[in-house]
Amino acid sequence: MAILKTDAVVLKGWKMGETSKILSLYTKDFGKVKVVAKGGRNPKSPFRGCLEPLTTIRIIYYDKRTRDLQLLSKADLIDPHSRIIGDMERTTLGLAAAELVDRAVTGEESLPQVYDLLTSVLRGFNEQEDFLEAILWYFESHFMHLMGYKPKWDHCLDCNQSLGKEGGFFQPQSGGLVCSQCGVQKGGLVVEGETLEILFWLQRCGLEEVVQLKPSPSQKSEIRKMFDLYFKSHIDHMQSLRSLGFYYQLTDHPSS
Amino acid sequence: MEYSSEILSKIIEAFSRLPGIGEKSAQRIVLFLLKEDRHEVDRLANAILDLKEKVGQCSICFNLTERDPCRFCQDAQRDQQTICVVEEPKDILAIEKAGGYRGLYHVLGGVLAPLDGIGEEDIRIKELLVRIRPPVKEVIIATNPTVEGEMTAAHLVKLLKSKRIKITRIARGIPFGGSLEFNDAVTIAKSIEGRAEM
Repeated sequence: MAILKTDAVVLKGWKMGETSKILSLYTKDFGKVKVVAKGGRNPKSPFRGCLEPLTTIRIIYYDKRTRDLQLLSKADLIDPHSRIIGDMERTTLGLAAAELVDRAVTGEESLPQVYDLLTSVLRGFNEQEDFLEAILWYFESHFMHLMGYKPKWDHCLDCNQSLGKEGGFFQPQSGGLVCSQCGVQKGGLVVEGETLEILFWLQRCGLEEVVQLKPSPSQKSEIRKMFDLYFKSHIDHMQSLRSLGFYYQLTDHPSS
Repeated sequence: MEYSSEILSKIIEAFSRLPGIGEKSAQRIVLFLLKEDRHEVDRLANAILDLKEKVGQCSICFNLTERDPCRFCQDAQRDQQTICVVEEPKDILAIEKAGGYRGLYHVLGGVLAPLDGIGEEDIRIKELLVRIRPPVKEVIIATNPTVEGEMTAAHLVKLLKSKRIKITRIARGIPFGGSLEFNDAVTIAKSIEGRAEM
């Protein structure tokens, strides 16, 4: 058994028994890890304040290769992202990023870039203003790249012709689009050229720039659909993100 | 584990399904019941049966009750202008035990939890909105200070804003008898943020 120390983001938590909690964490050095925080829900617990989803913490845990659930020994808060908590939009978008990582990453393979990307977008949700959904798009775009299935948004997958303003037909399983000529037989979701420009820009821009995006309702809807289809095509057993469904309901059909 | 009697093993298994009770504790309870008077055991058995037969939900506040409406909703002496919104009936027990609150309650039956697919229609938000009419002047949101609890509170504020009532949130901060140095950063930050004038 090894005693390991690392930084982590809390992706999800479940109640266990009367006072304990199981956490799904994405760690900087050991990938996705599940730990049990014994007595973590007790008001006098030393873990108090560190076990909520979306917090960034420094942990020490006992790692035994033969078991799936490791034992959390110590947790210190690095960043509670306090502006996210209590803000519906920031919370649901942050949870969507955490949900994506939780569902897409299965093993404990270490990918510090994913940790860095996740912590930077959580800081973005905490600090930025304006169009916050673009931060999630930025995350999704870079996450795909890090997981090894970066899509091609600018050229036709078949004839390599620049897609330009004409747009094309989306082929999620093939990793991009085909132009209007090649797509006549293949079909697929029709995507506007301007939407592709946004997606192409998302792969290259900085995180602080993305909130300035002002997509039209049709571009927004296309981008949402494309990311959803793309993840479903490339990640086993992937379903639409629950947190995102919740976010769309709140923003597109507000109750009041 | 195999027991000498089938009844014994059945009842131990039944008790060990209760929250916080393991097989060993279940054994201890069963052996205790065996030693008890018949009368005491009957009382316990009847109380359990009554629990399922007679205890239901109040049709106004959704607290657990034998009578509908519950005693809080029926009590004209309670402050009819204030509704305290809680997640579960056990939260009412905690507030009542603490004393100091004499208003009405509303049990949501959970919180919004996007990761678990629990949305607005899964908890009793609509039922709360129906209750917001004169003489109600204040709603106290007493959901737990967790990510989901805070999100639910923010959502309620959004929905109640147009109702022209006072909306308040329970305070978060240093527990009574506690010490600043042993509190976590979030609690300290929230207690400074929600400081009260003296």
